[in-house]
Amino acid sequence: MGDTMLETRAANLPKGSQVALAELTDPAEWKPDFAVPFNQRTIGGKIVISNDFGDWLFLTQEEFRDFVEGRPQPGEPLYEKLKRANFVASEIDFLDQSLRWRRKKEYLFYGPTLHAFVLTHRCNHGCQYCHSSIVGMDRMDTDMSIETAEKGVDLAFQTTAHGLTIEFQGGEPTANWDVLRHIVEYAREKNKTAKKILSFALVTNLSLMDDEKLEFLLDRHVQICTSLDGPEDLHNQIRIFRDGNSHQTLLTWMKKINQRYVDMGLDPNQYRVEALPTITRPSLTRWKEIVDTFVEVGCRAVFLRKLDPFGFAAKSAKTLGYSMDEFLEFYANAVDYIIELNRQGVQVMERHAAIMLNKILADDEPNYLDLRIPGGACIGQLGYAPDGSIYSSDEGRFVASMGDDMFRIGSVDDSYQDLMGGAATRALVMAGLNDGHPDCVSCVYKPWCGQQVEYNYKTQGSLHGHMRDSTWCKKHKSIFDYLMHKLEAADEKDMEMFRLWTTNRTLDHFIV
Amino acid sequence: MAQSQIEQLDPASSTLVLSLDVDLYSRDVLYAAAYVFIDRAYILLDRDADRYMVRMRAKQKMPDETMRAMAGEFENELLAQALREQVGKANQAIIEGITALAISGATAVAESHADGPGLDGFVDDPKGLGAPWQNKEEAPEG
Amino acid sequence: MSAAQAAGAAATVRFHKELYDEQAIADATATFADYARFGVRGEGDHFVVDISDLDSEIEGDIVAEFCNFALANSAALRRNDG
Repeated sequence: MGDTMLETRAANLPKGSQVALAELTDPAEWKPDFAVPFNQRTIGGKIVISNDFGDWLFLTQEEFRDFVEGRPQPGEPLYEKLKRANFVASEIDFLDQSLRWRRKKEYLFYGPTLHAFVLTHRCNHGCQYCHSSIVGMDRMDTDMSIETAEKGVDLAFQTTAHGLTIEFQGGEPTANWDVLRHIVEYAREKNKTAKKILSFALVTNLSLMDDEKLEFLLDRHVQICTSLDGPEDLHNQIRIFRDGNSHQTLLTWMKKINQRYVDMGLDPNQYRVEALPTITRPSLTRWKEIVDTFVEVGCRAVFLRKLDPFGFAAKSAKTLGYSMDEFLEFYANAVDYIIELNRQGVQVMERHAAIMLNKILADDEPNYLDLRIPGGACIGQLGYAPDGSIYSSDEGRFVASMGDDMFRIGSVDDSYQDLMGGAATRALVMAGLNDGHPDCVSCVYKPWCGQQVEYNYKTQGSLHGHMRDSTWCKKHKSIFDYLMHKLEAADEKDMEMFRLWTTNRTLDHFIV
Repeated sequence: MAQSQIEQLDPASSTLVLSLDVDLYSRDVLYAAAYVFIDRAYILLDRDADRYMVRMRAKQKMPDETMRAMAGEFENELLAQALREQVGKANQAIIEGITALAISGATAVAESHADGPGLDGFVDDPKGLGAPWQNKEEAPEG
Repeated sequence: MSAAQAAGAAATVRFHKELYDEQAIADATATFADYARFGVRGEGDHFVVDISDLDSEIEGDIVAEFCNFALANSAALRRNDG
């Protein structure tokens, strides 16, 4: 509800459109058995077509008409082009495509890999958009206990996935340092027999960091992620820290940690503190400064995250919020600038774009949980609350912090089989399929898009959501449109740049 | 070539009523085409004898020409959905066959992982934070 | 489909049984239950939905949005049921 698309379109964001079939073709001439199922969309002067395998092509209007009418003959350039891209039904190699499907849907065959432990609701920041039900630093009753933590780790290790990432969140997770430390040691000990590909990630504002904590984190190979909203005044305006200057504290520690990575002999191009911005209303005109800040602190990637509808973010929507069109205009400005920087030799990319290009150009499936089918709820990730409740995801926990336990699927006292096989998990997985969405099935971006059921529920009152009316759909379709226009107009140098953005490698050092 | 007919077009109330023969398109095509417009209009489908009636009221006031354009878009959307339906009927079995083949091979692949750490969860990037800027050719083997 | 609702206003909508699924209508009434009262009955070829006690503080047209939800739910259910 209240998630309709009444706004006008962002002026600088090129939009795809419906293909004018009525003008292009006569239904009496269609040869539906020529093609594999496909979808189409007008991009600039061309028509992009895609199939369920993830292949895509730009066609001229004439080529598209010939394709729909089944006119291309073997040996002709158009036929060969369509054949190479797996659009000619009679030419499909079933074994090749099944292996390809299996490779890209690998995640269907194992359990959740991401296990987010909320160690406490306490935090020393009062960020205006914060998701969680944040409490003051004296509320130690909101900390996760050692007993709950151990039960949570025991549960996480039951995942059928070989890869297991334990992520520490809050509140400010380092406020419950003893439990964080215990989880790391306990999980490492368990892994001596479990032999998972184990990694840890810490999401922290760095304000409680000290040398002793850092030594532990570096020694135990814990990856460190933080929040950086841009230049100092913008960051400190939103991320309110009464005990000091949040931005300066953050940058001091980022610099120190990055230097320690260098001292440890790690490649500074790969190993650095990962920082993420959240875009708020005051950010909208400051896209250039935000990107510049990330470049200055040595980040190679900027993840331009829209303010989401969960928790405090919903309460502060009137002061910090903006329409999807405003975000998309910001996004296009920022990514245009990032592309310009790349042309000048600066290595920086935007994460949404990189994830999508990874799928489109590299035919990869990075298993990014917000953009896969089915969505990552339960079967890709689990969220562990301090009281031992288990949620479908981070977002599921955020909904709970707003007083709605819709996404609580159980507790650390339940068995893994009961959690994964339960009715709640099944319902969330089913809702996260885009084959059930009337709009998604006819969308040219279907092979690369995804669902987040928690977002659907929060914004539209239904797990399934109505994509045509959904800002989730609007955001992703618009970014896909933007990228498709860039690809349509790209020269060889631009294509090389986009291919570099698709590189996605494992940070081996963080594997325990 | 228009196969739907404008029954009513009233810019004052932003209302557009289209009708089409019930035998022209399947209900799935009608649903899919109507669905595409729910971001711009309030829609009520009905049937009057052998005609489907599509009543649309624009969410924002629209001039006459925009409403006529919307009628044209609806016609176009019916065609697009009909094309999709026809291709699906002809060749959806290809997709289903490939999916079945891929899933039937899953057990064997899963067993191959039992020898040691596999790739699952290793090259994954669930948070979208994978490290960029390394050429594929240089990437270490999993 | 009415214009923006007046306080405590009521409306009646008729959904053709061939085009709207009963469960889809029930799901839509559940979605909008906080904003109005709904009564569903069959009448010939139609499901008739009597809507009353419309929440006058909600911006927008609850009845019209409800119709869109009933349509979208019907389309989705038909897809999921094959």
